Amino acid sequence: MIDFSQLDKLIHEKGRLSILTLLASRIDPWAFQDLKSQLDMSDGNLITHLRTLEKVDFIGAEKFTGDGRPQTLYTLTPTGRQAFVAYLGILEKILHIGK
Amino acid sequence: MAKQGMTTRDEAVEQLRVIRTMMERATIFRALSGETALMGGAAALAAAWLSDGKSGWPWADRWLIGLGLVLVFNLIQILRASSAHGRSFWSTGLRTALRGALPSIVAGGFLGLLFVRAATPEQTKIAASIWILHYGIALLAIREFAPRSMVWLGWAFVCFGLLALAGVTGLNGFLSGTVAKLSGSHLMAIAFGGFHLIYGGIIVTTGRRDETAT
Repeated sequence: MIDFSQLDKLIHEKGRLSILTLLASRIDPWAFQDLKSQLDMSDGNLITHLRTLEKVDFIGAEKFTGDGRPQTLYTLTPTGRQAFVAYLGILEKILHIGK
Repeated sequence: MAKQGMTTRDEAVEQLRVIRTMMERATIFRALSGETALMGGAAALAAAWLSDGKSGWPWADRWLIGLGLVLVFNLIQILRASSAHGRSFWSTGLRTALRGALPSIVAGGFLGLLFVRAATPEQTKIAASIWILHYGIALLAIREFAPRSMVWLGWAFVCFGLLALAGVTGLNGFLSGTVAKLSGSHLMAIAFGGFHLIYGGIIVTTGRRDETAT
C-alpha cells in the first residue's frame, strides 16, 4: 500500500513540476526567458513558482550581468533532484498498483 | 480507493504526460537525427562521386550544393516536427543549437574555403579535413541537449578530422601514407557519408529517438 502523503505537494503542482522537469533535463542552467518561452507562463506566475522552489532549496538562482543584459540562470539543486526522483518513484508505484 | 490529492492512476498518468512534454521540449533535437543523417549521408556519397578527381571551386561547388539540399530537407523536418507538436518553428531549442554550432560552422567553413581557393588536390584535402573537424566541433558544442549518440558522432568527426589533418600535413608518417592514397572527396565520403549513414541507420533501426539527453 502506498502512503500518498509522501507525494511532495510542492512538486505536484503542474507549473512547478514543469519547471523542475526542464531543469532536470539539462546539465546547463536555464535562463529565465528560456523557461518562460517553454512554459507559456506570465512573468509573475513563473517568478512566484521559481521563488517557491528556491525557498525550499529545490532550485538555485544566479544573476549574471556580463556584457549583455542582466539575466538570472536557474539550476536544479541536489535536494531538488532528490525530491524530483522521489516524486517520480511515487508516480511509478501508483501506475504499478493501478494495473 | 479513497481520493486524497493524487491517488488515482489517471492523475499519475497526467503528471507523467506533463513530464514527458517538458522533456520533449527541452530535448527537441534528439528526434531530428535519423532521417536527416541518412539523407545527409546519401547526399555526401553523391557529392563525393560527382566531385572526385576535381579540386578548387568545381570540387567545393558540388559539396555546397549537397549541403544546401540537406539543409532544406532538415528545415522541412524541423517544420514538420514543430507543427506536429504545436510548437513554434523558431524554438528555444533551435536558437540554442544555432548559438552553439554556428561559430564552429562559420569559422570552419571560411577556413576551408581559403584552402579551396588554392585549387590543388593537397589543399583540397586540407579543406576537407578542416570541414570534417569543425563539423564535429559544432556537434559537440550542442551536446548538452543532444542525444548521447550525437556526441559520439561529434567525436568521430573530430578524431577523423584531426587524423586526416595530421596525415595531409605530414605530421605522422603512417597517416601521411594512408591519406596520400585518398582524395578530398574520399575523406568527405568517409566522414559525411559513412559516419552519417551508420549513425542514421542505427537511430532509425533501433528507434533510439527516445534516448535521454546528455
